[in-house]
Amino acid sequence: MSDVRSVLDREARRVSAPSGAMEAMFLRGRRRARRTRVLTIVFALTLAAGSLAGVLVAFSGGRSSQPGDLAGPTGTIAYMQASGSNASGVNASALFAASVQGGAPVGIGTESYADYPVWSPDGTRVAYGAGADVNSTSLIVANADGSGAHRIVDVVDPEPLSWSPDGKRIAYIGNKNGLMSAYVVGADGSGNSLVIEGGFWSTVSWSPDGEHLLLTGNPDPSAPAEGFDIYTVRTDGTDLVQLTHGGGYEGFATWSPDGSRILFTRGDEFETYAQDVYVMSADGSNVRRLTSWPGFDSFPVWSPDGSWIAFASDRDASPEQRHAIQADGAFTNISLYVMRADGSDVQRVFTAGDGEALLPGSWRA
Amino acid sequence: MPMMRSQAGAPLIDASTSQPSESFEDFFHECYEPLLRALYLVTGDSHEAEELAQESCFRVYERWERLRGTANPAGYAYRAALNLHRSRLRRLAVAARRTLRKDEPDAFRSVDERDAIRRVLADIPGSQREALVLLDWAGLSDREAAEILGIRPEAVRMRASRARQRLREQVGGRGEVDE
Repeated sequence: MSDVRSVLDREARRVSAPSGAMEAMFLRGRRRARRTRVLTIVFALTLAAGSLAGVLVAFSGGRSSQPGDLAGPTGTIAYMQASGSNASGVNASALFAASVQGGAPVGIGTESYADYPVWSPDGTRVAYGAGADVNSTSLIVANADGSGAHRIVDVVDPEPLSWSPDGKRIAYIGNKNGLMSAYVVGADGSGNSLVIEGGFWSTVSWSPDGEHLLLTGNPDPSAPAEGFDIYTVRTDGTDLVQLTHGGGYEGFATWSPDGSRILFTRGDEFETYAQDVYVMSADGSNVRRLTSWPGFDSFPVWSPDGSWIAFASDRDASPEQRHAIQADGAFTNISLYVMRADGSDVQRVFTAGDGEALLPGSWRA
Repeated sequence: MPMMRSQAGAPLIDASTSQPSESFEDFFHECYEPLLRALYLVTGDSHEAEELAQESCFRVYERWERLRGTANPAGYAYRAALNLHRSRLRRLAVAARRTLRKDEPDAFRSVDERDAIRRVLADIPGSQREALVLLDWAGLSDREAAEILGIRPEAVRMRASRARQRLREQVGGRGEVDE
């Protein structure tokens, strides 16, 4: 092992702290603060200009997303389509909404990076994160057709969002000071407040009764627990209750529309791509595995009546494509599927092409 | 928990609360370079490592009054840096950005092909590299590394073992690492 150590040390010594490293650190910190202020102004102007020009962009037919032949589920799914880097290498992605029964996908927003679209409870609005790139994003609220987009709050790397049942507030996970914490902000941008600090909270979902948030992750910032679990906490940050103790990494936990069940994913390791979809009772009992696919089954969302579940999967990718997904983190050919709430009747509804991942964010009637 | 020293000789993780750094300046001078080097080994990109090290140290600075004497500032800095690194690779952004980064591969993969050590490191998955760096270079115990990485100690050992084996197989064949 000592020889391994010496090899690593030889490599590590390629970099050294330059003189003036501390001054450079302070300069970077101050630049970050300045950059945040400037981007806020630029982004607001961009949104204003986009609104004047008619922000909504309709994509006739979609490049490769083709509704399949379905009998059963109805409604409209908002999803993210990973779409490729621009010439400068800045990450980009786009949002679409499409009927599970067919029809042309409709684009939402014009930002070069946008993620995780979530319908408001009444289906008239959509919230999502967007910006010039993933590190300069804001939480946006727009009408369901994408018009009238306006910035609610600046959020670096916005996480999955969740509306309060009355549509007046939005819960989100924010990355601040290296901690992934849960916040709540008014849908009009008022009253942005911390609910519970991370740790490393990964996802958040508002309970149908409006009194609790459902969190996945790890609450302890100083001593990370083994794995991520599912917790509930009151919206005032009190009464944190741990629901799962599995030792794996749970994610994407959401209450069913009637509040009786919790949908979530589980993987054995952090950032693993071998995830499956599970459901359990709201008290954490009766855990049931809905999918058993050795690859990627994730991003599950409920249908409005709780009878169907949409999710993303690489199950129809070729072995070579799945190998690229697992070994290199290259998400490609990850399509959007639905299944009944008991895990039966799996159907592909939107088909991803090479280099694409179609990731559901929300489903409305 | 004893003071951890990297092979560079400076404390990487000073978990001793009996001798906390007197000032942020002391902390920075003791920990910055080992942190920078560890992050370079993890990311394979000196610019990325510098950015992460500076950002995480600045966050320590912002919280210095809270961290000094009552916690482990270097451990906090390391966790913050890894969280920053990971948060760029995670959840839907994980999916999106990794899809988008198909043509923007792991920095280690774009190294000079003439460089044998870096080429071997390029073939080791990032999670295994993290475990290897913390155990074999930074000198942490498997439990200490597990606390930073948020996984079980046995998972740390397994990942490091796999990385070590690959390093030995690849570099050992060139006579640079003994079996």
